[in-house]
Order: sequence, then structure tokens, then C-alpha cells
Amino acid sequence: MSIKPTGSPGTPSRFLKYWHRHNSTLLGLGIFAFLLAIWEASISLGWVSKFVLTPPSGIVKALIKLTQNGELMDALATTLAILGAALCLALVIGISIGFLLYKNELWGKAFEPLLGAIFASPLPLMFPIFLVLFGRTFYAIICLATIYGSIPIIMNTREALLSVRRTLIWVGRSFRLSEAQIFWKIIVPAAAPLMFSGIRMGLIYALLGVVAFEFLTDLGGLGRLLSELNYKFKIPESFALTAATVMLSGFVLFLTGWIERRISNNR
Amino acid sequence: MTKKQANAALSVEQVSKSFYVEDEPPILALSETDLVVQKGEFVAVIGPSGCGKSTLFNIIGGLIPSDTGQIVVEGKQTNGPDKQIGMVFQEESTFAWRTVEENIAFPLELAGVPKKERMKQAAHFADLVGLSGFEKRYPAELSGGMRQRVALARTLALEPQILLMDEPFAALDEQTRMLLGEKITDIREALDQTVLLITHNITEAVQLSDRVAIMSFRPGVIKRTIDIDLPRPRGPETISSDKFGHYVGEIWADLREEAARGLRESERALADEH
Repeated sequence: MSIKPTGSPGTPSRFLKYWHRHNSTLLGLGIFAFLLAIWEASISLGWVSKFVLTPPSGIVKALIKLTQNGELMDALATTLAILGAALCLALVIGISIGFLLYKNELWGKAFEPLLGAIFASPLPLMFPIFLVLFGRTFYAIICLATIYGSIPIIMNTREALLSVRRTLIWVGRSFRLSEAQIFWKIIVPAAAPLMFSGIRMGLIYALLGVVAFEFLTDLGGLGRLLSELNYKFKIPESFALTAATVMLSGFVLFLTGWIERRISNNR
Repeated sequence: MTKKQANAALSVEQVSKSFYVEDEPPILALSETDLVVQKGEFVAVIGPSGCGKSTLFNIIGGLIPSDTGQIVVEGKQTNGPDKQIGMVFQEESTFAWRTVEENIAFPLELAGVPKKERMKQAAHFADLVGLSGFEKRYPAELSGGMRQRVALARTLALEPQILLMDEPFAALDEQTRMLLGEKITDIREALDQTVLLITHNITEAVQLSDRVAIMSFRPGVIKRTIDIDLPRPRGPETISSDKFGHYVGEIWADLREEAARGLRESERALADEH
């Protein structure tokens, strides 16, 4: 009796290949589309009042309106400018302090629980302190976002530098490299992926801090616009702005994730 | 200085090293250890776990200082890592962010060799360790044995006269270990190098070496050296010969007592901890 193969051993179809390569992304998009459809249907079928929940189609219309009248772009520009300033400061402060805490073991151990406590504390706790210190100014927002952004950068920079294996450093020594060469040619590239994870977290925390503090202080940016739209009961516009903020966060996450993957590539 | 020491590629002279742990008596890892390796010789240092083999490796490589004694390379006392010595480590030591060729070219890059020349050299050494065709791959894309060969090629790139290896095959399976051992002996002959191999594997020591130095358990001293009078290349016939087995048995007879002492002491230390 001969045994014959039951199926074709040929190559899988293009669709199957595409599915296997991107199945998690496609599934995520499918779930997202399904939830949007349920959302839209629940309002058009009258299950939920449109005064409570704006349908996705209404959000898109409101988003176009906010974009055309310039309000969204102005607010976005303000938020991004504040975020940019805070991130630059957080990078300089975070990497410098992280490096110092790596070099000084005693200080590193002493500061670790303190930083962890600040990092784990709820963000709004800090608002009154910064308002008292800087008044209702953009400096207050930049300062708060800088601190929130720099803490994960400090913690990850120290952790990343400490996690470099001793053998790699010894390879450098065996090649008679100077301490500076060992640091720049071996320690920094070896620590780069974990350091960048801290930068990514810092960026996300800084963005959270900026939008939340803008909302509270009513100074400017996406947070202030959202506060104003809520105050005026402009529900579709409020939803649209929330969606825009979520998209901004998503874009920041995607961009930093892409850079992180590039840095960690093939490790 | 004896005549033997005068012609030596490497001399370990009266080297001692202690380690200090808080609230505990100092641990004497090496005690007035002597070892002479002649030019072109392949010497294996074998000993039980914890006998100070890796300490000796680090002192010879100039990574840690000894408390007493000296290391002499080609007649000159060393002070820190010596350019005549190339080191291959037991642990994974390739640079994950560099391709195979960039890893191999690393010491050449620091020595200021122009890019075109160092890539040519990297290709040559990749070929020498059998990694031709893998130059553009990253270490994560290679097997453990291949990564260890990348580390070896990177060390060879500076063409050191003495190759110092600390259990470079410890993390590999037996078959890969034997094949890589053959590769090392081929390379050593091609480059006319002196090799000092630190190992705890008796078969590996006999397969590769001209001489095996047996270390005692703590404090580590060279207890005895045995000349391995076997023809090269040492293929399957040599390894399966009675003479090979005799050497393995002879080394084990010396090592057994030390290994048993090491085991007893580590078990006693564990019992004291609880």
C-alpha cells in the first residue's frame, strides 16, 4: 500500500503568508473596527443617546471642523512645544543623573527607592506644589513634565549601565582600551536598548503630565482646549479632541517603539 | 632566571592572590604559583572548580593584579594587559550591536587601521575560524559555538603571540567542543602561536595540549605537569587509543583527590551558611 500525501505540499497562498506575518496587527485592527461599528450602531439604532455618546462618524466631522478652524493645530503646536522643551530637559537631566548614580554606588542605592516612590505617586499630587512654585505659567507645566519625564530616564539609565556584563568590559581591557573608550565603545552601545526604554517611558509620562496640567491650569494646548470644549458642552468636539490626543500618544508610542526596535535590532 | 625561563613565551613566577570578604577570613586563591610556557607550546591548566584557574587567567591577562610574584611575557615583566597576549573568555563576549565582521574588526578599528584594510582582515579571520559567509550576520543569529568563534577571531585579529583561553568551550555541547578544539589546534599551527588553555575538562586537555598542568584545590598551586606525547593531528584514532585513555586516567588520578577536597569544602560551606 502506498501512502499519498493528502494535501498539496506547495507554497502557501499570498494571503496566508501575509496573514502569518501580520496576524497580530490585522487582528488588532479588526477588533478596533468591530468596536467602532458597535459604537456607531448603538447610537444610530437609538440604544444610547447621541447627547451622551458621539458616534465615530460625528467625531470625524468634529475633528475636521476643529482642524479647519485652526483650534486643533494651535493647541497641538503649543502642547508639542511644551513637550519638546520638557523632553530636552528630561533627557539632559535624566541621563546625567542616571550616569552619576551609576558611577556612585552608594548614592545610586540611596536614591533608588526615592525615585521609585516619586515615579509611583499619582501625577495630580504634584500640581499644587508646581502652581505655588511657578504660578499659573508655562514654566510650571514644563517643570512638572520635565520631572515626570526624567525619572524613568534616570532609573533606566542607571539600570542599563549597571546591567552591562563584566566580561564585555574585560574584553575592552584585554584590548588595552582606555576607560573612556570602554565607556563609549562598549558600555553605552550595550546599554542603549534599556536606556531607550527609559527615554520612551519618559516621553509618555511627560506627555501625560503636559496634557493633564494644561487641562487643570487652563493655560493653552490640547489640555486647555479640551477643558474649554467640556465647559461649553461641545460633546462631539470633546470626543474629537480626546481622539486626537489618543492618536498623538499612539503616534509617539509607534515612533519610539520603531526607534527602540532599530536600536535592539538583532540582539 | 633558569634557562627554561629565559626561552619562555610566558612565565608565571611565585604568583599569590587572596580575596577578602567582609567578616570572613581571607581566601587564598593562589599561593606562590609557578608556570612556564615555552614558545609555540600548547599548555592546558586543569583543576577542580574553585581552585583559582580563572584567577590565574585574569592575572596573566593583566585584568587583576596579583598580591605577590610577577608575570613575564617574552622576557619582560608585564604591568596590566600585554599586547602579546590575546584573551578568549568563557562567557559570551561578542558585541550584540555589531555584525560578525564588525566584531572581528573592533580591535583593528581602535588601532586606527583604515576601514577597507580592517574589513579585509576581518574577512580573513572569519574564514580562519570557519565563519566565511556569516560576516554580515549579528551574534544573535548565530549558534553558541559560532559566537565563540567570533570572539576567537576578534582576539586573533591583533595577531597576539600568546593565546590565553578560559574554558572557551564550557557552554558548548561535547561534539561542538571537540570540533572547535580541532579548529583551535589548526589555527595555532597556522599562526605559530603559544596557547595557554584553562579548562576543567580532562579529555579536552589531553586532546589539545603538549603539556597539562594540574592545579590543586585552594590554595591553587601547580601540583604536577604531565607531557602529552601523542601524535598530531589528534583525530578519532588517537582519542580512542590506549595511550590517550592512559593520560586521561593519570590526570584523573591526580585530580580526583583535589576535586573531592573541593566538593567537601563547598558542601561544608553550604552547611555553615544554614
